[in-house]
Amino acid sequence: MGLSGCYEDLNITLHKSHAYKGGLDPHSDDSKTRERKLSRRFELVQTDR
Amino acid sequence: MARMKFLCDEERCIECNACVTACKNEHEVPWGVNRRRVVTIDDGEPGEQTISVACMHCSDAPCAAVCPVDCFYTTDDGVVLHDKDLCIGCGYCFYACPFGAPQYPQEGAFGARGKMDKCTFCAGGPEVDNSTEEFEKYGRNRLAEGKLPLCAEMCSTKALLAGDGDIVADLFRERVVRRAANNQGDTSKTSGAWGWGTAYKE
Repeated sequence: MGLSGCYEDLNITLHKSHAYKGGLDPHSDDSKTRERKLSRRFELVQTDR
Repeated sequence: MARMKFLCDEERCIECNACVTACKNEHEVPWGVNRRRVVTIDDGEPGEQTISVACMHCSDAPCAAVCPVDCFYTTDDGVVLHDKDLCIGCGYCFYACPFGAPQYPQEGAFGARGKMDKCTFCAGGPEVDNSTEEFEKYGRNRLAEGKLPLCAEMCSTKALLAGDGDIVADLFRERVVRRAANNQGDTSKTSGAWGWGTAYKE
């Protein structure tokens, strides 16, 4: 009983700083498809008529 | 690989605040938070300049560098996003950001900050694209639908541009060259790029 407070977990968790720790962000399109779609959209909407 | 950027052409900006309203409406941004703000310098005086400011999605984001819980990440498109489930509302990213992009809804007593909220380039966050959870936390994910940020698409004068940095830069360069040509050598007028006359004084 007296020694129960002496227990120490020896498995240390190393914290890697500046490495993202959050959830995964799934993209519905691959990067090439997205790039193509967005370039077309830019030409359509944001260039002068 | 495309790198998404914003650019506000201050020569065209008319301070209509359509970008602010569009953003707030589309993403149901909490009260007290403005993901995008329109800033006017020398308001009411001749030569006033207006510019629309939001998160600039920095290539080397200072917010990400200072975050104690590493809740920021950058997508393949160069959009800087964060995970609200990890955010502790410490405010460090606000201190680090030169644009004041991170904002905090007032939640709880004694001025306690809630989770940080900022412009997402209409790219949502780390939840399934176009899911209810993503909308509730981060707003609409327009990029997943093949659309560009609503603030730029709603801009009445096409002052605010949002898209691939190379394409945006080419478009802005064309405008500057056209304005310089229209000024026809009158050096009292600027070439169209804000600060050009000051930065390159002879």
